[in-house]
Amino acid sequence: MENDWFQYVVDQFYADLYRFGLKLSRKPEDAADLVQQTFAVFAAKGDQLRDADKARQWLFTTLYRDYVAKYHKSKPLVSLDDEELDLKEPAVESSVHRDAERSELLHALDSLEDHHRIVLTLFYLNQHNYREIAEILGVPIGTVMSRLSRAKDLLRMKTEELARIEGIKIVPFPSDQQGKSSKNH
Amino acid sequence: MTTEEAKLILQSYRPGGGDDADPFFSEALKLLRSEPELRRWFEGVQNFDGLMRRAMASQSPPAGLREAILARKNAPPRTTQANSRHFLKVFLPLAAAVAIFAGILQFERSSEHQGFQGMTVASFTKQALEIKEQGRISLGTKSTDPVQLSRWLAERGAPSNFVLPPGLHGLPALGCQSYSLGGTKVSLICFTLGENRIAHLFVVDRKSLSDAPSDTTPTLHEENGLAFATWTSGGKSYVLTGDNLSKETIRRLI
Repeated sequence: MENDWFQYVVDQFYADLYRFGLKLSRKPEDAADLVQQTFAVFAAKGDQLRDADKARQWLFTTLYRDYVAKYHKSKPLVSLDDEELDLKEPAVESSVHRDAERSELLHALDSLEDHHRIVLTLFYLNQHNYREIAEILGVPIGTVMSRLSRAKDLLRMKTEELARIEGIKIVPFPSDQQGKSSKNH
Repeated sequence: MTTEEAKLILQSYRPGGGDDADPFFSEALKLLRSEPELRRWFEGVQNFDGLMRRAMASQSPPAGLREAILARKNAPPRTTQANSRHFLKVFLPLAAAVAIFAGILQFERSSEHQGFQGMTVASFTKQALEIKEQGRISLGTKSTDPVQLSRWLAERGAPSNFVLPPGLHGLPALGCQSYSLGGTKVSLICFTLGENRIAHLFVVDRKSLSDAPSDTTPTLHEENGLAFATWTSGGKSYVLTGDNLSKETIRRLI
């Protein structure tokens, strides 16, 4: 593989790949390992990927599969059947602290279960649309949509909870009334 | 399309307008114009998504990761988790350190140093302490660049993919050295604590030791007035000692 192309792809995607790896593993050293291994495979086998979008999709998919293979052998992260979750209906006066520290937001994200945290991470990295997220995770598009919706509800509740615990001033946030309607997607 | 259906779809709409051209969202976006309440809800969602997006973006990769990826371009892919530990690990924590360096130590194989086939945690610890006690520590390279330190160790086949204990993070590094003990490489990194106080961290692959446990928390020891700590973690075994370091100081470093 040409050095210029390899370096271009690294520069474009290594930071977001690291962020993805960090949210998967929750460990910086494991995230760094995952990113390095992904690019090592890319250097060896990615010659046919001459398009940046395809390379991006390939890299995220490869990193995710590598993570599942190495760190999550006994417990599939994402099943084809979306699990039932007894979500509380968001309060009408739901609120979130707009000025919450980024670390608190990330802490709230980290506190979610794998299948919610991972889909939100890919979404908030802003590199992938819902179709691409479905491809990376190997699940139907409807599952991605319902998971995103539920995960956002949970994240907002977690954030509110943290805000209450920390005594941070919270400001109104529009409630999502469709939590129940998305459960069966 | 109902309001609830529109909400479900719009939850997948990326902040920043990246999905503007996707017809999948067009009907739901159109509904925003006629339903003020839905529009307010969507604005709130977008605000929150924007906050999260910025929070995600605030997580920077560790210093040296890009360089490590580029340096490894031509290396074969690794196939096991243990092997995938890359030399980057040594300079993730080292990235904050300022390095000064001096010297060379060649520790030749000799009759008093048995092959690593029979080496135990105790014998590794003993030999590491002997190197320190007998004044045989000198440093093989000088550099303020953690990447260069890692490469230097990796080029010599010495352990370079280890994690520093929290107390050593941010301390100015003095340098590193590789030892050949019975044919197995041992790495040493030294850090200065000022006032002639120097920390010496010895590292060896756990698989080189016949009795190393999988993972242990650091344990403090003191023998003949020399304080040191030992532990095994992440496939590596460590001995931390130093010049003019009290047991309490060692405790703060681990």
